[in-house]
Amino acid sequence: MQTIETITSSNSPNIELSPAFLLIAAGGAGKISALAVKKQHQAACSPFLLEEIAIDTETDRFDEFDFVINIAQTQDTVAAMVANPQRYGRACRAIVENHPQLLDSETLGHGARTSRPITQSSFEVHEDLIKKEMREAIHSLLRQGQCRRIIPVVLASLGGGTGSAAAVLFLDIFMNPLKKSQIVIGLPPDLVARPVLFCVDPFSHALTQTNDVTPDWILANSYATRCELAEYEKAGKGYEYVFHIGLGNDSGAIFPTIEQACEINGQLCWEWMAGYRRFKARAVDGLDFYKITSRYLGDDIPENDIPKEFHPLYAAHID
Amino acid sequence: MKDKVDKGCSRSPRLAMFGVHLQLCNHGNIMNAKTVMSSAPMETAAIKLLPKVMDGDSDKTVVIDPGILSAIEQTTLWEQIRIAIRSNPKLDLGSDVDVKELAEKAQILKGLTAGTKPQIAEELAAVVKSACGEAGRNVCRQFDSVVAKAPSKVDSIIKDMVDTIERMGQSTKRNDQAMAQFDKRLKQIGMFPQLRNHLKESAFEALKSHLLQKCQQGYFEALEGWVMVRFEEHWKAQCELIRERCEKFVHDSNAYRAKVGMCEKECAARLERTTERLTTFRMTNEIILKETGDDEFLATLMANRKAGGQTELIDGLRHDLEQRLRELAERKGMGQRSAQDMAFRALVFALSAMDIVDEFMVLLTEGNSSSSSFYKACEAYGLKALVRDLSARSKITSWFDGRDDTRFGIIRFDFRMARLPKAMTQKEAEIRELIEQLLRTEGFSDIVDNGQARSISVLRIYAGWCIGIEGGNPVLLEAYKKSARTGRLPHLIGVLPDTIAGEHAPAIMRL
Repeated sequence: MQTIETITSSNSPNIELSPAFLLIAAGGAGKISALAVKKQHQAACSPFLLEEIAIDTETDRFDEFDFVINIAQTQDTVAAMVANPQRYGRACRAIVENHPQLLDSETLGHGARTSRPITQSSFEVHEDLIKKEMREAIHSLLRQGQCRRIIPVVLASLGGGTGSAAAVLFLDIFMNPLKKSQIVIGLPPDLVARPVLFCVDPFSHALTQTNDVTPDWILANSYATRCELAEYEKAGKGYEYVFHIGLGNDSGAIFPTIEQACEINGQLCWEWMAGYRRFKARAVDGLDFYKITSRYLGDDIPENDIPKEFHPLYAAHID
Repeated sequence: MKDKVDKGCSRSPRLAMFGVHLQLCNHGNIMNAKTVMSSAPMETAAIKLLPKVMDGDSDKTVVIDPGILSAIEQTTLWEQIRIAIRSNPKLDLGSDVDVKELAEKAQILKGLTAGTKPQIAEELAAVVKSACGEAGRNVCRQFDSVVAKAPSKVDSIIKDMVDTIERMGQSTKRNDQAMAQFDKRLKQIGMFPQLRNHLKESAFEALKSHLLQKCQQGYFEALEGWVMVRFEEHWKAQCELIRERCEKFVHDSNAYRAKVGMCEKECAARLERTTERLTTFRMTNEIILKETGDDEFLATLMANRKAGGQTELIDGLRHDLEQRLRELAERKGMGQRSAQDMAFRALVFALSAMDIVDEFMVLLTEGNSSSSSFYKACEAYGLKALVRDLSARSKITSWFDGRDDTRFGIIRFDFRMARLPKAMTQKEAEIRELIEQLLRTEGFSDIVDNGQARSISVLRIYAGWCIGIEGGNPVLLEAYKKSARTGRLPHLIGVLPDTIAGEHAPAIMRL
């Protein structure tokens, strides 16, 4: 029987344990993180297969990526959406019907401005483009060398408008069999693995805002994203792993700006990818088992204090 | 619950999320710490050394060997051709030249001019071609051998060559009147017998001898004049070939210098990146180790490479860099034979500046046995303190209010991995062994080589918890509630069942 040491130190390529990584930089924070990954990857002479793809509602720093998905809304896409809301998805319909103020032509192309539904509507409008670029990035990865497994790794901050929405929307793409098959069409169905999320908890982002309300919006986005990720997890369609990076610890490491937090997010992501074989060898008998079988058993769950009729559909009451 | 808190109950706040007991435990906190060096002596040394290594012979003085260049001096070359012409029995005059013989030679000359003597014309052209070709080849050989020894001197070498060639072109004068003069003298000799009755015997003989001598001289001048035209044609062609060769070399030389410049820029960019990183963007998860200065780095490099001086160091580095570039070229698919046979310059052209600088950096790292200076820096910091600080800085950044416990169903997965540089010497191996022991006591069971000689990094992953128990949730929930007053839409549309249009979920607002 092979030990962890023999598996991980073997020089012969173990294809099953040496996956390629498709890095998805979602939003501005995701792009900073991905560029940190790229820098570290180049400095280490590219020890594994990696392809980066950036998706954002603004084009800043797109030129530093090989694959980009510009999902910024333009006056034309908005005009088409407003005129034919039924031809688009539920987010477009809801925005056109209930929140037309989000489609202000003066602010189009300047990011999602911490408004997550804007990103969702952009995903619906640019769905074909997203699938096409994802497909091409996967093809590029396959051209780089032999790999039996591609792990999509999403990098995002949970507080902004684009990254926090994309973190959930990409999960929807990868965990929806039809949408996923449209991306991996013609390729082995199990080629693309369940995705992994590296997210920056947006405390530093919120604390460095200069006005009174934006910190609340950022933190609220983060809370909403956590709830939505949990919702997917409960349905068995969650990320393989979700790695969080907070503001700091009690030993002097603290990241007071969003740039620093994102840079660290990128470093951590690269180190995790570089040490993936070691990590997986340990996780397969531990974490991978716990995450299926373990559940929180404490009594202090909030449902206990709220009458049953006020519970949401997904929260079963414990008597 | 509110009452309990107000009454000073020590119980921590309730969880701030619905359905926590249904959530998957697939969340983790990830954090790292690493060492960084306080200066960049290697990058600074690379900027100083790489241009000298690539232009390794810039200090050598090489001059053109006058012995070889004399082959193309006008007098020497032309003298060779003259000797060759006169050694041709069809063209040479006997010792007792007479009028009849001169008349025959005159016919040959006229035939050459009119093109009716192709065989002799070809023989003469062959003599000229051979002499010019040999001289041209000498120039090229000399050129190649000299520039190969001193590429940096190529400009001055080319200038010398061109000067010599031009000097030769100017000094070879053609006598265009020679044929007419020879004709005139030949006619004079034809009229000469008529004077026999009007002159004394001795005066007649003296005059005859003088006229024959003049006529003989005129013959050779006329013949050389004809040959000179061919010589000019051939030499012009040779000069053109040499000039093209020089121009190509100048072009290549300029391109090479541009490539060296690109490599210098790449080194400078790396230094800038490193110093920028060291001065302006230092992270709090980094432990700073003090490193040696540039001079000490170079001194160590020279000592380790057993180089007696800077010239020796540069020669050694150039040799090793060449080897590394050949191996790299081979790996990059240029073919083993091709990569092994390539000249250094061709290798430099075939590879990118980034590749060249990468290889040079590896050379400096190995040559300096920089991990020795790195491990020395670790030792100077204090090994226990270093491991303690790395372990502390890499602590997690998520909080759980004690709920991450097995009694609450949360099974901890604590993964700790450390990456260390390879030990290059026995001393380094000992230091590394001590660091490994200390890391194990801190729970870092996975210890691997990082392949990057100048940093230790540790990675900690604390995973296996559900998002509902993360300690940041109450603060986020408060912000969620507050943001409802400003009409924001925090949710994606249709993901949660009770947020139809992205608005705040009513149930969550009750929490």
